[in-house]
Amino acid sequence: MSRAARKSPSAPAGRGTGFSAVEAAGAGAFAARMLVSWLAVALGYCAVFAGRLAWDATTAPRDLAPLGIYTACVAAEMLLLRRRALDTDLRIFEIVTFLVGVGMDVQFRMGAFSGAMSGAKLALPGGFAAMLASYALFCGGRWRHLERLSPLCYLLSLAAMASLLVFGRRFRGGLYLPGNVNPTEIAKPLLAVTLAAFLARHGDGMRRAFLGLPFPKPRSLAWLAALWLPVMALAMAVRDLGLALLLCMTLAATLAASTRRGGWLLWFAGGICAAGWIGWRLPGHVHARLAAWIDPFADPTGSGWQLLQSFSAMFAGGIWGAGIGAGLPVEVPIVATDFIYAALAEELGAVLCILVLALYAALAVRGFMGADRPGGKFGQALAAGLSAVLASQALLNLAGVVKALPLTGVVLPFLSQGGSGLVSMMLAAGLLAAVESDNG
Amino acid sequence: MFETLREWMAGPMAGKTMLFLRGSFFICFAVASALLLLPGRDTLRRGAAGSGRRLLALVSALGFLAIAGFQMRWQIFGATNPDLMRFVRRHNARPGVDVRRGSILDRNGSVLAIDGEGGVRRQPLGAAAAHVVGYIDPMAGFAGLEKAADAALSGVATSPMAELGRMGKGIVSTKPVEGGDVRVTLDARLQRFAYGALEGRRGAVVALNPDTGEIYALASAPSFDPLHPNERPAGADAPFLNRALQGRYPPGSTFKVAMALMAADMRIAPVLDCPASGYRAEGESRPIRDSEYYIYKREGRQWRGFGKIGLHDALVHSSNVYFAQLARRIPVDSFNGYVSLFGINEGQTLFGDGKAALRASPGSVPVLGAREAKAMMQLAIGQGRMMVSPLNVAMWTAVAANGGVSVAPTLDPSLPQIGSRHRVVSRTTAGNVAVMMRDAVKSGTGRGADIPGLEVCGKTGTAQNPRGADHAWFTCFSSATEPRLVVTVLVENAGYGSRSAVPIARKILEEAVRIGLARTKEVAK
Repeated sequence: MSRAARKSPSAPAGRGTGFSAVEAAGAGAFAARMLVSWLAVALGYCAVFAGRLAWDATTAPRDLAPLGIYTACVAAEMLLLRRRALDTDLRIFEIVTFLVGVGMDVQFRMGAFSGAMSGAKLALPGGFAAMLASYALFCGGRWRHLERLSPLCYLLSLAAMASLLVFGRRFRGGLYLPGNVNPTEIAKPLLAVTLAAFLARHGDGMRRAFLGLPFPKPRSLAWLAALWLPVMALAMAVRDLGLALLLCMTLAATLAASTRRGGWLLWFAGGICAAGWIGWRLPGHVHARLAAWIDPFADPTGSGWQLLQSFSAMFAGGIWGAGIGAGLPVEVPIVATDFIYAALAEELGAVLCILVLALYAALAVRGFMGADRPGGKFGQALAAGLSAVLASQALLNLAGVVKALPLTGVVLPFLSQGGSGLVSMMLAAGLLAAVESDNG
Repeated sequence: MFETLREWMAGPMAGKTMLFLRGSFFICFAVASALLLLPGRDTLRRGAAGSGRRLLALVSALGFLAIAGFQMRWQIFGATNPDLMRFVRRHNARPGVDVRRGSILDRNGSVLAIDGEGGVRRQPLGAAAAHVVGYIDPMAGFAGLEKAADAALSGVATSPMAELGRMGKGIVSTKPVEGGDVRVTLDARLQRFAYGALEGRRGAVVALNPDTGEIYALASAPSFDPLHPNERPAGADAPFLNRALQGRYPPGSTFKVAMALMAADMRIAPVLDCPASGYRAEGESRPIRDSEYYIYKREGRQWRGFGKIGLHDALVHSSNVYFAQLARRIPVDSFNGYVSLFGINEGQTLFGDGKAALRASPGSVPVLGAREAKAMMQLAIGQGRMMVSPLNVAMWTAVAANGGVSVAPTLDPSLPQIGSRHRVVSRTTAGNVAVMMRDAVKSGTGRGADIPGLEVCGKTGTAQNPRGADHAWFTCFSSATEPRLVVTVLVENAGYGSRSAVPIARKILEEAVRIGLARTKEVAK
């Protein structure tokens, strides 16, 4: 990589006439990786489709439409990004595109996309549009404008949660808008922006520490409380403990990144343990969840049923998996959303599951360890916040499915069924790539 | 075009097509992820990440690693978790992952418990073996061999090496997990017969091989339906109690066999006067008398007592008076020592190990202090503070049958019994006592069990107890068969052993010979 290639900070490389060898190599590698992962997704889709042909008479050519849509989205993405190898962490796009494709395969296998024009079909192009649009809109350093817009982001996220409170209807213990749209999904990236802007301003006040443990100035802490308490109150009001937990994890990660003090994670862990202990002592929903987590075998056909079916699916998968379309993951309750990973484990097997986990880990590590530029306090905090939203959501869901943590009702980003979740997570990924791009 | 595709997938090549598609998907998936994970030539300039962000990256990476670890607990090592295997077996709808529970087989391979259609457990012997075979029920849990052998039956390997072998199998093939079959020493025919011989009376039967410790039959009545252990049979007294292993009864005169063994071993075999008035130790208010005294008295006649008799006659006629006096001549320490050699106070483990093992309750013979020599008088006739199970009685009978060696009883045919056998009394002593027991059958209280050719040696017992009529005992062995066979019968509150227990033992001995469990020596020659 030549020094000259790196120095063209304001104009994104490739816009000009020069198309250096380094850039060409980067673009080629990007295209190769995108094509191989597309091929994997397409093969998986075809395997499910071919398998379905044999037993489902209603299978028709239109069932291939999602794959066509996905292909078109990937093509558009490659066109848009083909010359961004020098200034953008394209690996974020590659990983997200692949995971979304795998998610589409598994959703198709679970019987999604069967309606004529279901929301699930719209989610895919919607997600890609959100990802690419947020990248295009905010790359080239334009994400800095978000710092000024952060009050709006904050109000929008509160409004989204409040709208659910007002218009929502109950479904499986949670609140949803008509069409099972969940507006709180969009609140997650919006709150990451809000937090980043807040900490860019109050970060110094939050940095004060004693024996390595952060003890922020009371004034800063009061501001943070004023910002955060309404969010928590709304999350509690919509009865979404998973959301509250996820947002607190995002807060802790953003604090740790912007103050450079890992002690915040200890505060967070202590707080969660205390909250969990209180939940354990009080009779109710939290206690039931914790009890089912501690010993699912105590009530195998009741509270432990879902977890144990998930383990059965994993056990059935073994090392190589049953083969996509060949397992019986529908035995796991709500497998398409919360427990999609159990279906993955059964049909793809342990080897591919480890690769999927590694992809999530790579995405998180890239997000957290991304470029660190001068004057990037807001950028650093934003990158950490968005990465934390993605990583902690994945961790919370996966940990619940494998019984590392209690179930929290959080869905798996990119893989779980769900329109609003997919769109907002892809939006967050696009924004993250924009923040990580080297043109500030 | 689309129809051609449909026909293809309905045709003979469908399987291979699917295999190709799934295989290439797998490979392509792995290649794509590898490409996405490998560090490429990174063209993007990177600065140093702050310490907080590096920590976050580390924590999240470790988080995903931990998830992989937790997942493998179920996905790869799931077969090591008995709880999960049990759940999978009962609630798994996947046809290819059918975790079949292994069968319990008797010594000849006859089925004692097997998975039938739809994973429903079946036990051909039903109530006849319900206590020893046990049950597996979602509500009632586990019992008996179903519990003791659960790990093996569920397909959970017991040793790390076996586990490695199983993992290897999982890697190269997709063979469904199968529980292993478990073979036990029981004989299904004898078990069924023994239960039938009790005819529903409250009681128990133990039949075992004194040379190897193999248990052939462990019957207990009343019994229950092992497939519905939640339903208590109407009107039955303690149907779930395994009387053969967990029952606690005074052994009555059957303990005189143990007394005779220890006395003869110590060469204490005096000729003692046994008058009708009985024997009263100094300071005792009531004398110990022989049962003949009471029988004669009830009939309004005068009994004259046994007079001067030795150990042989005392055992043949079951003289309480003799054994009470004999007890005074046996040092307390020696008595305690022999009791511990007989293993009466130990809970025998019959199958498996750990918490789930199938165990017999220990008997309780008090360990006497130096000043309690008088208490031994009651113990010597099998009364007083002494409680044993039918298995305990069978065990000391086996010592007499086996030339003075005690062999730990077992249901596990794979256990080497070499280590757990120990000598209790000398071979000569055991032979002498066997002769006494033989005479007790030939001319004494056990006449009903004298089967030609078997040379049955035995001892009856009639045990007083606070719960009503006396318990009837008979414990015996066939000395002329190969292998020898110990049969112990208890019938609760049935009065004289010779009247109710002896005929049952006789039937069981005959049946054992008929089905070839023990062959008479003439036939063997």
